[in-house]
Amino acid sequence: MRNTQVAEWILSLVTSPERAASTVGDLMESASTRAGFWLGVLRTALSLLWGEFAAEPATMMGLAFRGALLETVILVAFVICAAFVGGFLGGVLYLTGSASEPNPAIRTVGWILAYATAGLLVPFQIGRWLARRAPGRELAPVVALTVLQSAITLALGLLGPVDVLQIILGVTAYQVFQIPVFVGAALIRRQRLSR
Amino acid sequence: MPDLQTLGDLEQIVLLAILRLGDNAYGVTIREEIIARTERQPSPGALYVTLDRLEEKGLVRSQFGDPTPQRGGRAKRFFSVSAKGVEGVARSQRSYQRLLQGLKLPGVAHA
Repeated sequence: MRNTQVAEWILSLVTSPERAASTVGDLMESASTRAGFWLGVLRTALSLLWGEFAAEPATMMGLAFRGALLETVILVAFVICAAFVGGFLGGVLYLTGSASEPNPAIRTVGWILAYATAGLLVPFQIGRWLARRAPGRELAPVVALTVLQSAITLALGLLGPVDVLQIILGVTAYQVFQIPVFVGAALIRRQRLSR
Repeated sequence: MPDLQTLGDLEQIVLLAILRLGDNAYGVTIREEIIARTERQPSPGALYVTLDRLEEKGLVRSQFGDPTPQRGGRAKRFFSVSAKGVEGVARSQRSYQRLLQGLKLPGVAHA
């Protein structure tokens, strides 16, 4: 994939493919250096992303709040279910005498499944859920969710003894956790645009 | 009908730049016109967001031109101001004119 095609792909996440192509053409025409071109691509993508959120901030924050609530409920339910299943299987193995302690391999697989579900699958599905409720502005609720969760992290960080580094790390970590949410929403957007 | 509150400063500047450029108004020329005529240097991102917003409000229309080899075969997106856009920007400018009446500002000529 050529550089300009990568730029077009990035912009097509936040606008229609035709507009993305035209914008890349504009940036090719106006940017005098390679760095200037890429800076233009990234700034334009971020501006368009923020612009979607800024067009209906209250609606998007409401949607993000519902998304965050749903995500919390699903994760709590998942933890309860995982604890129940884990406890049940451990109990069965213990009672049947086939294992006095959990098998390390099974334990590792269990943890991987738990992390994959909690860290990837649930956020990915939340991204899809949010995007379906914001047709035409699929990525805006993800921006709102990022703002909301960053604000919650910041508020929680300020409750105890203030450790600026820890607060910055916490807020940054949330941006990483948003990647599966963003991917889920972007897929729904691309599906809509390809119809 | 858009009122003054719905037309921001950059929106008015973009509308006026499109009107000045006529048939040759696309992203690059609009930004160059704004830089040449005002003291502002809007980022490409801010310009595209404003253009999209104006189109959503029905104040501008856009259409794609033919692909050009200089741009790697990518078409230009040409903009034109709709009748609603002309009325919106004229109304905003009339408001400015009324506010300016009776004031003497350095370098500002009054109609």
